[in-house]
Amino acid sequence: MKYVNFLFHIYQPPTQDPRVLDRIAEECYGPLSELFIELADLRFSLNIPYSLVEQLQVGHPEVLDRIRRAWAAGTLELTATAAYHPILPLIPENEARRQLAISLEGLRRWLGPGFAPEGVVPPEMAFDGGLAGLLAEAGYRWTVADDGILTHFGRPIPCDWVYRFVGLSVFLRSNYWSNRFANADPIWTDGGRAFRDLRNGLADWMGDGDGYLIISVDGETFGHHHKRLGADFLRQLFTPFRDPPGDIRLTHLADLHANPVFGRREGFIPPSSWSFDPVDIDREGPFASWKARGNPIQAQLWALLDLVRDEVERTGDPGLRGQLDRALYSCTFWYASLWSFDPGQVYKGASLMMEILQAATAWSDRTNALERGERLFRDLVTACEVQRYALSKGPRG
Amino acid sequence: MSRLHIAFVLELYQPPTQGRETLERITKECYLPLARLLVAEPRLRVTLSFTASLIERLETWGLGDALIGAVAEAVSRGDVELAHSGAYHSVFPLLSDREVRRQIALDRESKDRIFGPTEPRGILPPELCYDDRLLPLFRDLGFRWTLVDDKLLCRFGIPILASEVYRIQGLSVLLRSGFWSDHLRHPRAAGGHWTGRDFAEVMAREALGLQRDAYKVLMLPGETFGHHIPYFQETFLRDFLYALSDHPDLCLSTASELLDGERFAQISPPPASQNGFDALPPSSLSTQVEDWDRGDPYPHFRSRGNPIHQGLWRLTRLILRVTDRLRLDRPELQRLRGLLDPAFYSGQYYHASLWFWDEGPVLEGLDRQMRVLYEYARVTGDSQPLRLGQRIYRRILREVHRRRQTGTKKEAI
Repeated sequence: MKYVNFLFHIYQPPTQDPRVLDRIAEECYGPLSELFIELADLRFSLNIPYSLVEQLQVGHPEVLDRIRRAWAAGTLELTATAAYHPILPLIPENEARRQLAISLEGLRRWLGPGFAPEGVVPPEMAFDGGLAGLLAEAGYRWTVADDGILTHFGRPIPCDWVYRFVGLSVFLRSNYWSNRFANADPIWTDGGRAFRDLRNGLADWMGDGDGYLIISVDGETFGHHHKRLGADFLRQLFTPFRDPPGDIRLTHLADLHANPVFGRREGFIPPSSWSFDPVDIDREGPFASWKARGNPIQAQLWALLDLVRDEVERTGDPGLRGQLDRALYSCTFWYASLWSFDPGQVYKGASLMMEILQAATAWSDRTNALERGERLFRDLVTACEVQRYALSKGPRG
Repeated sequence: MSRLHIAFVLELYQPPTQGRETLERITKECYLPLARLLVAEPRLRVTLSFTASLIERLETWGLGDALIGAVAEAVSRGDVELAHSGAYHSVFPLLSDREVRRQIALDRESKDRIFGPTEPRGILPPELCYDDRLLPLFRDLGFRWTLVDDKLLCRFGIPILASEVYRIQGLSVLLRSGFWSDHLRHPRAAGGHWTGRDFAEVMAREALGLQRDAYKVLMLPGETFGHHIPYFQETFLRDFLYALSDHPDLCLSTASELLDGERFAQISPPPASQNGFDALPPSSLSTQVEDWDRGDPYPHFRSRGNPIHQGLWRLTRLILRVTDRLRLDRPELQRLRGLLDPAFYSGQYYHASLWFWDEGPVLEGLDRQMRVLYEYARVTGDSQPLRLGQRIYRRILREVHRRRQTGTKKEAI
């Protein structure tokens, strides 16, 4: 039997404009959640952090209602994750634990106390050995990492066994198949074509034996990032799984984890994320999209965040603590990378940090800390504006 | 015998961002020796603006005890007259009336606390930034006189008075001798700084032809004496004092003493409505005729074509606009009020000028202004002004970076 897991990741940063959320809900979250109800006999996985739940509760409760019903019906598997989408290996362990706890509590308030996921998917699948230990210690039994880094390191990518690393089962997301969806492979003129390619691909890789494949993509890919991959495409893709020609079916990750056919093997998983770039990894590190060596903007952002954390800790104020939790979201750092540079998004996150620092130092009257933050913020803005200017000039001829 | 009355007006000021090390040095080099000179020489009658911002810095860094005690002694004896100003040295003509009143009230409060109740006699707008609009406000606050630099007056045919005083909207307007005040601060063409005796001789020559009593007001930064020019309080002030014994036609007065009795008649300036002002041109103590002709009455603080000045004032106006709607005496807005008071000190604009470019004070001032907007957003829940302020902030930083890269100061020079 060939098992395929579709793990949708849907997320919006805590600073998202409600009008943008409305558009995404209309183009994507609404149709996707309706599909979970419509295809109730199939199995899907969804990774939704509390950050988005919080926003949908305000603006689109009908989407949450459908997701909850699909989860209660057993169609949908919901994984644990971090509340405000921080890059877990890049933040202190106590912050990582706190993010996991906030998300779990938030989803329990929504779904009820029965929500007790065994699996956890870190934001951006940013993963390393330290995080693996932390997740295992928190009681999670499995997680998902991207397989691209294993290819880069020349390590085997399993289809019929599962890595065991630092006390945790680690499933591997297929970078190849996931990115064909994420990039809307142009040869997939409809979902049926994608299904046939997938079925044939699995047969080529696995032969007659049992195996599994994990495809994990931003949910927003379907209908929002790519209009062509909307509900009709997904319906064409998933309908053949209802009565599959051959031994292929959709599954939950928990079922894969429980399936005795797929044994465990101890093995090292290098630090990486699903945005891993083999060209940059040696020079800029495994999490270069958020913290690249030599990126002055990201360096200032992380220094500012450290300062803000210290000052919030000093106040002990729960309101500021809550704001700080939100300020850890990954987009601020992502958009500071050279390849995804968007100063507006950087400023959004950095300004949130400054607002928290201003409030924290108003509380504690620690002018020195505020002045240090102001210097960092100035350097950050200057670095951003310099980069904006450099990019606007384009390549020199 | 007609006499030439010379009034020295000294302004002692430090910005609210001044650090301990610098202030300690200036106190040792200048403030303390000057204060001791005032105590030791009762004949040295001067008008002193001892700004609230300086008092605050001295108290913050624990440097004020001996200095303030000495000045208080000279003031209580009546030899030294205290003039008022804006607490944090903001550019009055470019602020709202409410903030100007607040700055003056804070300055008075500070002086009253340190020196005992002070009478509102003279008001020195920081940097002598003048606009006719300010006069009724000063008058309503009980002041008798203010001071305006005389450099622009000839440009409009307005006489520079020597034996009369202008009276405008119920306020006496003394004229600062721009020529002499500026000259004393710089080395002489022949080399070396002015000595008090040399200056007394020059003044005595001017007094020779007088038909009636005349006066001259010399206003200088107090820091000139010992800090900008080493030992200048000795080589100029004390030397001048001792030289007076050889020149009976010269005498020292405080600024208020010039207005006592009927010594100098008070007259109106010629009508000037065609020039775009009512009585006297908007100006500062550093405004030159060519600045005015370029449209820059306050060139060191808001110069046309200076993008950093433009940005800073855009931010200032934004803050003034949004806070003007608030009743800042409410208890929950006390912190906002406290941030607003020192936010517009003149140094940030001054050092953004081409002549005195220094990014440190500019950035410090920028941050002080932004603190107001962050606090405004926090206490009112209205973050729109903060967002707009952040956009202005980024533009200013871009321009600061450009200037840093291109070395505009050198090019300008």
